[in-house]
Amino acid sequence: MSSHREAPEISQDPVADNTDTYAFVSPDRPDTVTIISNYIPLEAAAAGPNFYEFGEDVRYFIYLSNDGSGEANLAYEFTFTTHVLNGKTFLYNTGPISSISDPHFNRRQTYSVSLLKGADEIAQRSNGVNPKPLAGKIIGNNLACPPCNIGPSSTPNYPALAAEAVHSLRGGVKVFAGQRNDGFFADLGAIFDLADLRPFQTLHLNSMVAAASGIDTLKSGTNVHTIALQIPISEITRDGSVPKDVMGKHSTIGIWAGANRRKMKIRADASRKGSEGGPWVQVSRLGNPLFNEVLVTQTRKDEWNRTYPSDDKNFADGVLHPELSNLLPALYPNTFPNLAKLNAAKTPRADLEAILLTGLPSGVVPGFQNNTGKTLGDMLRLNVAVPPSANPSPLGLLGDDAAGFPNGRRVTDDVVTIELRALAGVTYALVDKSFTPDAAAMKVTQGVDEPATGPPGSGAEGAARFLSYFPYLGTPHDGFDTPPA
Amino acid sequence: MSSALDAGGAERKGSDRRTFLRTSGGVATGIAVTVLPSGIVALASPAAAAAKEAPARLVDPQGDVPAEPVMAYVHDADKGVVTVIAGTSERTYHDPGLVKRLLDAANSQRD
Repeated sequence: MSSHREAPEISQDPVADNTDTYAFVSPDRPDTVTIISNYIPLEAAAAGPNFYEFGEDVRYFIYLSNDGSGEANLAYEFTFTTHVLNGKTFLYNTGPISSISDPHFNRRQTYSVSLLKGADEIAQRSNGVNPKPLAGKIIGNNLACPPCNIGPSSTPNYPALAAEAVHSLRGGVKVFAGQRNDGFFADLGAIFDLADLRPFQTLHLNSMVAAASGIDTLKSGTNVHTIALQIPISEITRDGSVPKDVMGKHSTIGIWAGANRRKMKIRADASRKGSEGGPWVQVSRLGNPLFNEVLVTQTRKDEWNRTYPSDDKNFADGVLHPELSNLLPALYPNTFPNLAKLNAAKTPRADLEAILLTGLPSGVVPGFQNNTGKTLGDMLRLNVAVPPSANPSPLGLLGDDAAGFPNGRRVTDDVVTIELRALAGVTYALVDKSFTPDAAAMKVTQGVDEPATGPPGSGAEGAARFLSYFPYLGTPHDGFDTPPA
Repeated sequence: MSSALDAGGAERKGSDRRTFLRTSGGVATGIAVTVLPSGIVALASPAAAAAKEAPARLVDPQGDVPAEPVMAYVHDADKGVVTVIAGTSERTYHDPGLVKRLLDAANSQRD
């Protein structure tokens, strides 16, 4: 999965497990950028009586780097508080929830948002080395989360509840935190069954089944918890401008998300409550989809989660010599001969380095760049001067749509297919004009079509995976109807 | 976050580790891990000094584990290196005396 349970330690800690991060120029508010970071992988919809929620003991961050350093110089921090109105019932809700302030909404969460500026301020909160108070940094406080989508008796008009939980902050910022439909679409079963990709099974070395279409693994009922921000572009660029020149030096913003916990925890026992202490340490991070999942070895995945993008030169070998690129010719004999030659020559994959670690410099793709300098770092790189596409291609830049991945990442981008094709050699031709990608490389897909985006404002978006408006991820599956009979 | 080893056992402000275990009542959890109420590292007072010769004794802790507990763990027993976590800070010291006291308490639990 993009980053669901992608490393051993974080797979045991769902509330801090960042599953996907998105960043794109908002199609319906093109003077803003929307950033989404999702947590809690594979939430079952019918999760009563204790439905999913954010961790009170976790600090969630969205980081931005706008100066080419690879270091965060802006960060939004989210902290959550849980409230129980009636402690004498086992119920999450004591009746239908008609609004997010409804007293029947018994167990609820609120959160605060702080805007941190500069490396020192960010370090104070993300590492906790200096517990100075953050007076004046809070831009939103006591903001309500919606309930989880329980079912038609408890949450009869879920879209309305979610809409109530979209909060407007000063400066034109919008924020939402709560349950959403997981927008990540992929045939996970095939991918992790030795990359026996549907519908190409007949070409696979060891396939046991006939060719069939891909299966969208998360389609049938898993949710996530989403933190979504919509920020005016002028708030996040280095010089406060709204860039219009795609080739401009300050047009690209690096974006990633992370979650931190206290270093020490004393568990409660039968006689006394537990406690926590120590500095805050990062336990999860996510920029580009599939980075830790596919390009970092088993024994280093936890280490990667603890480190920062500016340290990623330590993980560059997995990008320059990706294991999956070596496996493809072996798993699909005689299908990727040119890739096999490239692998045999042990040629460093400068194309993947540019896409994932530095951003594409000018001169590689005509009229486009999203380079952030020489520092190698895994982050989404969004050139905010590229306007939203009127006809988005799920293949993003590979589909001649510069508004999509790897220029940031939209919720509808088919990042699995894009990265599979890149790993198969398609993008190597960008840096070595003498290289001819294999015909199969341009046809590789994960076998799952892009899910639908619901019609705006029609009220019919309930079944859609995506929305055309903030927070763009669809209504979560409800517990009563999931899985369908 | 500082994790630098203080060479030579140099004392740092607010961290009188030598009183650490002595005032703890010798209660340790797991191997060489001691949990103390917040503020105990600052007990460099006459009362603490008077108490420092008193042998460790077992007591039943009262109440909950305090918020922001001070915690210490022996990082390297052979080299006398101990890490103290207090609030959001974490520092590592060379303090063979404190390490010995912690290990003595830990070993006493194995008896």
